[in-house]
Amino acid sequence: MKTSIINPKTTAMAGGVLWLLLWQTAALVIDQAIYLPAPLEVMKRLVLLLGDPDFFRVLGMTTYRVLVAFGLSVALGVTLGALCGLKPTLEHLFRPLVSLIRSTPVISVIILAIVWLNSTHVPIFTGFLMCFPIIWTSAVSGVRSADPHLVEMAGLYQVRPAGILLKVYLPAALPTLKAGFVSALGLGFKVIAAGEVLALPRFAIGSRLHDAKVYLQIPDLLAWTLFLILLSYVFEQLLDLMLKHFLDRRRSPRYDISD
Amino acid sequence: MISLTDISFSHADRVIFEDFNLTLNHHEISGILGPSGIGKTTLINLMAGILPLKKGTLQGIVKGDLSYIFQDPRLLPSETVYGNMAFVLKRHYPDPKACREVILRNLTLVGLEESLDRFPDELSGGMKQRLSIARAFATPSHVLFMDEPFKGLDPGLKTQLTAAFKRSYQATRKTVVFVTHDLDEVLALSDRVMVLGSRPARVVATEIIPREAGSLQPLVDLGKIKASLLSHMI
Repeated sequence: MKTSIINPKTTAMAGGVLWLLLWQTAALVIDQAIYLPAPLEVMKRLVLLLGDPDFFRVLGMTTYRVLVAFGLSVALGVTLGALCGLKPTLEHLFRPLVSLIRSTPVISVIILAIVWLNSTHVPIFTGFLMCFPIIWTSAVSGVRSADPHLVEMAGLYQVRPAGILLKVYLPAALPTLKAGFVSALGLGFKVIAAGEVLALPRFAIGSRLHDAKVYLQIPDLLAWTLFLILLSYVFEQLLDLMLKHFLDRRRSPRYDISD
Repeated sequence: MISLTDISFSHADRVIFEDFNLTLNHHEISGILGPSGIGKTTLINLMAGILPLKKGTLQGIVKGDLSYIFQDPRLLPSETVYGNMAFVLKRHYPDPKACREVILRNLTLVGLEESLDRFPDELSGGMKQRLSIARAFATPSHVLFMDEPFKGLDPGLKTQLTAAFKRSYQATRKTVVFVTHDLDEVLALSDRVMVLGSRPARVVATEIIPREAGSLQPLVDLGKIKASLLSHMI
């Protein structure tokens, strides 16, 4: 098998430059910033937005909403998913509800939430409802992937349920949970922004996207979108790092030999 | 004394035991011998409570007061040798110092005292099974079940594991019930051997194995016993 001598990082950078060049070419061909502004113009807006007195508050509030929605989904999704993974009867009870939530269009959820809740809570509620099914499903299949022989062994040796959960089920479920967490977090940023566009809370990237659309400020729209992508990327990387720490058995909490 | 009285058990329309009776002595190693598929594993799983006993009575075993050495070692892949021991022993030894002492003592008996920090995937097959032996003997239970613990291992490894088992056994004198289809294995370990035969299964022969050291007579007896057991297995 041939091994490529090109560094993957170099290839990725070259790819980035290529797509930027394509964007620049398309902007030159269309020649109307209202449809497609040039990359440089968007970068200028990006820098200008950094000087906006509310900039960090806008970013902070959107991040706060994503983290609250994600945190709630993780807490409820993992707890309920683990219980459903352990008790099939419970899973049969919850699966129709989870399937219903998963199939409901985001826009219907947002509109309903606007009717029920205030503008700050609409994105959180929507984000929670969209992330929950992903985490619930990964928790159910994660728990199911635990080795039944190890569970049987632990039962025979009278290990406490908390010990079995922590040392048998959790290590088996972590890889599946990790995949679920990462995709739920990515989706969370998109759904929360969509919820903000319609609910228009005061400090929110979605509200800024809405304003940009109303005033046809396409460079602003793209600049805020880039900030959203950046935020999502940073938090996905952070989550990945945290979960890697847990998944690395040599660094995860162990029984202390020196006890 | 452990006694099973009028046990009946079927699986997938196959009657494995029907009004089956068996008596075993405490503080003895009872070997149950029989061909594959006769119901040996089913028998100890019924005794251990892994399978539900629907008909018949079982006396002499307290639920939870048992250890089990499985065919495969069943170790936690994400825990070290020490962690695997601590996983089952923490409940029995809440004092960390006492727990550590028990773990080290039992790991030393099976020769794993130098491997505390190693993970199961860093151990050989024999080391994994020795860890499983140490875990079973370290648990303060009165009864130990073993399901063909040396199956599929090469003769050298079997000798090594048998020695590890004997060292641990001498230190605890648990009541041991083990099943195997290997005649040499059962003769090397047991105080008493029972042969399961026919279908539904029943005890077709029982032999007491002499253990006097340094005497020629037991060797002659052992040969006779082996021949007798073989005749019941065919």
